[in-house]
Amino acid sequence: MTQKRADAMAVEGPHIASKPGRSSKRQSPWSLEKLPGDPMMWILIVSEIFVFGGALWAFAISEMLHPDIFREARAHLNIPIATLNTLILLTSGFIAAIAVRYANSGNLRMTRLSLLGAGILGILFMLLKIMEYWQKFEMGVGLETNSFYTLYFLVTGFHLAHVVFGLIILAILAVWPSKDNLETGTAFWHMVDLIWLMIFPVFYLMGVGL
Amino acid sequence: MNAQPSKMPGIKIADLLKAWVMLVSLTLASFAMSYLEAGFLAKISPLIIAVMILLKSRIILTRYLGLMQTSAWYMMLSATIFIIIVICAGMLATL
Repeated sequence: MTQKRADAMAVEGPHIASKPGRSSKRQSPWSLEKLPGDPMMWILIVSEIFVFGGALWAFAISEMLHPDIFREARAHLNIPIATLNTLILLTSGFIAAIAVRYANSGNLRMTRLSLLGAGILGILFMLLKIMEYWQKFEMGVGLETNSFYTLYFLVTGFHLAHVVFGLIILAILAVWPSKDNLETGTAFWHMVDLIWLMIFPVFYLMGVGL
Repeated sequence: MNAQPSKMPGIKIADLLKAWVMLVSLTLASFAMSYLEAGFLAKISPLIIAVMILLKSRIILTRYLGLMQTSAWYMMLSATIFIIIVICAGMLATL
């Protein structure tokens, strides 16, 4: 036996090393089976990132075309509240991640309490966002004011709809906290986090007039 | 609660807490960056913020979502988010 063949047997075992074609039995790095939760959730996560990514590119292109409109509109954005909302959502995601760890250790009470905490912070995010919208409406700004506000209300509103749906999922998880349900449901909640991490800098921190 | 094994790696709560502190710090740092008004640093601040978003997304993907065992998905998702943000940052930095 040559040294090379002996090394192959040590790594792959005698069965695979004797039949080189069988090495394809190894799991693909793209396998959905290793991902936490339901594989379909990951298809949803990827597609949502692309959808919101497209909307953010549309926003950036629109800003390049109408810099004056965007400069004026950005001056009315409430950056401290948006930053606070980011911190709230990140904390909610942190507590949801803790809920999964409690579920893995079989602590049902702490799992439910963690989900409740994540949900309360999600509701707080929602209320602050509604307050932000209310400020805009009081200024006489609406969906059709200009291209900035059309995209602002559509993108952040669509994200808010995801937050509401995520809150419903967290409530379902609190009732049926199986490991599989928790991994799938909290993956959705973390996706809401990830998408907000993309929206927040593009709308509030970058661009003209800041 | 069923007895099936979890596919998430056993990340300790202390590590989750460290990840959360890191996420909060990066958020506050990017908030501070947005207040830079003049100079070279202000001009490139969108790109610095984009790098911060990459770091934050990687923390969420590995620590919260537990994608460390599926490197292909982890790389694909973090690269997608970074490309989306860096193109936005590039467009907005030219204004």
